[in-house]
Order: sequence, then C-alpha cells, then structure tokens
Amino acid sequence: MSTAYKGSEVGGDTNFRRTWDREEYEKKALERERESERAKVKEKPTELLKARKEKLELDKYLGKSQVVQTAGAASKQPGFYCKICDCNIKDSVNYLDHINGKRHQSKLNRTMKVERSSIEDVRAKLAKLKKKKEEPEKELTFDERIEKAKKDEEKRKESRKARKKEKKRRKREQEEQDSESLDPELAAIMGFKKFKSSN
Amino acid sequence: MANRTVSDAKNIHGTNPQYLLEKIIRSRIYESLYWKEDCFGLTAESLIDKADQLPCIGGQYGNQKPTEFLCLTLKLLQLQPEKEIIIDFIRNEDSKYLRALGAFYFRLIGDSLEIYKYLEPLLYDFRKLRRRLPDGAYDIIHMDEFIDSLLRDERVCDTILPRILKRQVLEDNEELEPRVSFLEDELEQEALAAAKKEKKDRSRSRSSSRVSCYRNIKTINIYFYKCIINN
Repeated sequence: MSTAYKGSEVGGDTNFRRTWDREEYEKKALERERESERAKVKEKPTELLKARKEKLELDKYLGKSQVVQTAGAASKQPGFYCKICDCNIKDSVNYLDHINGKRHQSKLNRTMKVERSSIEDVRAKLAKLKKKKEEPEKELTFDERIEKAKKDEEKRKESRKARKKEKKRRKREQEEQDSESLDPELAAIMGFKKFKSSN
Repeated sequence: MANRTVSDAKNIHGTNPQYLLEKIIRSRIYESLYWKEDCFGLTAESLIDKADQLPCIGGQYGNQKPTEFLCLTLKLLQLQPEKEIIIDFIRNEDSKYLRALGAFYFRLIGDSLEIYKYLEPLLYDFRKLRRRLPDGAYDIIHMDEFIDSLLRDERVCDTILPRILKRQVLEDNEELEPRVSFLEDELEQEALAAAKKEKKDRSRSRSSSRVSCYRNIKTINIYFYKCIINN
C-alpha cells in the first residue's frame, strides 16, 4: 500500500506543511463505509425452530458440592452455563428463558418459527403410536437388567477414555505447532532446542 | 417470542385463539416450568408424544398451578393445526389423553354442529381418566363423563367454554338427527317383555312389576359393564 502522505510539494512559504493524497483517502473512506454496512446487515437464521430432544436435567447437580470461582471465566462461575453464548445464568428460570430466547436460537441458526406439520406427518405418528401400544416393550429380568447396566457403564468409560485421548493428542499437536513456529536458527542462536511436551 | 401465536393463524370466535384461555391462566402457563421446558418448539406432530404421556386432565391445582393438560391445550391454540389433525386426535383409539385433549381443544374452537358431530361418538368411550382436583389430589372420571361435561357445562378445567347452541335447537332446525340412546334397543325389549308379563299375570300382586323394573336396571348395569370390558 502506498502511503498517502506525499510530503512537501511546491508552494510558497507553506511548503513545510504536509499535503495529502485525496484520491487515496477517498477510496479508503468508501471502503470503510462499505465494511460497516456489511456488518450491519447480519445474516438471518435459516432453519426453523426445533424442540429439544434431550431432557435439560436442571437438577443435575442437586445435592452435590462443587468448587467454583466468583470471578474469571464464565464457565467456572456458579450457575447455569450456556456454551453457545458463553454466558452464565444464575437461576433455572432465567436459564430456560435464555435458551428459549431469540438471541440464543439465532446463534444456532434458527428462527423463532415452528414447522407446520402436515396431516400425513400426524397420521404417520399416530400409526407409530398404535404400533408401540400394540407391542409393549418386553420386560427384562433382573439378570438381564444388570447385564445391560454393565454394558452401558463400559460404553460410557470407553467414550470417556477416547475423549481424554483426543484431548491429549490435540494438546500435543498444539505444542508442536508452537515450537515449530519459532525460527529454528533463532532458537539455535538463543541456545535451546525443541520444546518437549510435558509427557 | 416463543409464546406468540403462529403468524398465519385465523381468528377464532373473533379473537386470537390463545385468548380463549383466560389471561390469568395464560400467563400462569407461560410462567410454568412445563411450558418452558417441554412445550418449547413443539409441532402438532411432536405434541402427540407429550399428550400420550399426560398424567391427568384438569385445570389448576395447588398453588394455582396449571396442569400439563392446560399447557398442551394452549400449545394447540398457539399452533392452530388443521381441523383434520384434531379430528384424527379425537378418533384415535390408542391414547385416551390425546383424545381428551383433542376433544377439549375442539370444544374451544369448533362450531356447535361439528362439536355435536365429533364429540358425541365419544360418549361410548368408557375409559377412565385421572383428573387433578384444585387441591392437588386426583380422582377418576370416565371419558363419557368428561365429554358430557364438555357438551353441557359452562366451565370445564377452569376454562370458560364458548357457548354452543343447545342440541334441541339444532334438532328443531333439522341440522341434527335426534340422538338415539345406546340403550334404546335394550330398553324397548325390556319394556315389551315387561308388558307381556304384565298382561299374563295381571291378576297377581303388583310387586311383580316392581321386580321387573328392578331387573331392568340390573340388565342395564350388566350391559354397561360389558361395554366397559370391551373398551
């Protein structure tokens, strides 16, 4: 980018003053204006409102003790934390209002309109309900239930392990990247080699 | 935001359909946890599951809390599904609470003739429903009782029902056939039999007619009992 400052030009005794390239600055101003306009027109959400599938479990931590911080990151503070909006809400009613609110939903790319279900959808659903009523879920015996609980537990452990592994891997990668970004020659001059990861 | 009626809703009885529930009850519903947590983003289709899982019917209970039944009614008023959908709700045999919900909603929005047409067949449904009483306790009523109260009473489930024409008026205008009682045949036969018997032993004491009357009532009871079992 050429500098807009052109330095002194011919002129009587005011040639010590700086003069400016008008065209260049005009271009810049126009660009700035366009940018700000673009920022104003936010993208509108495109999807329709959806009901929550899973239970909210607002009383998940009832009767449990937790270490919390009163200052610092929102996620560490006491209350209900909303990942999407990165905010912390102090009580369940306000939390519900928040996650049902327009701002939160638009971050999920959803409008506040609900899909209009057609008569075919409803009929299909009713047929499904009928089928379910006709074939009630078979009851498990005590042993079977224990077996099922064990399997569930194992699955949960496995997934937790996988998540931890993934986290570690990502951390290592990040560290490697950081060390690589340092110029190796400079590092050699400064007298240290690659960073070692802590594990 | 989430409490608004759908934008393409038609006015019912001259107002926004949600106004068919009184203001105070409506705002209590908007504040209730069930509304915020479970009724958010429902469609007419996903509402079916919620209606199937309803624990009871009823208006307000305890500390003026609205029941789930009222919450779902308001949801229906808000969504305003097509009439065919509601009729499907009413006609379904599998979920009695869905049927009760459909009937209640239809009573709020329908016109007199259709209400009689679609709700009267439900008078032959004798299944039990749990009803939440204002003090929070439960009692049992039957579907036919509930439908009967919808057709006759002014106030059901803490909601003022819109006025409908009396059945008699519609019959006089020849818009409706006179209703034939479920027990008509039975009663006729009984009456015939009783008359015959009376003729036969007119000379005997009068107590016999009383006995036959008693028997009449008994058979009716048995008949009812059969119907309940069949359902």
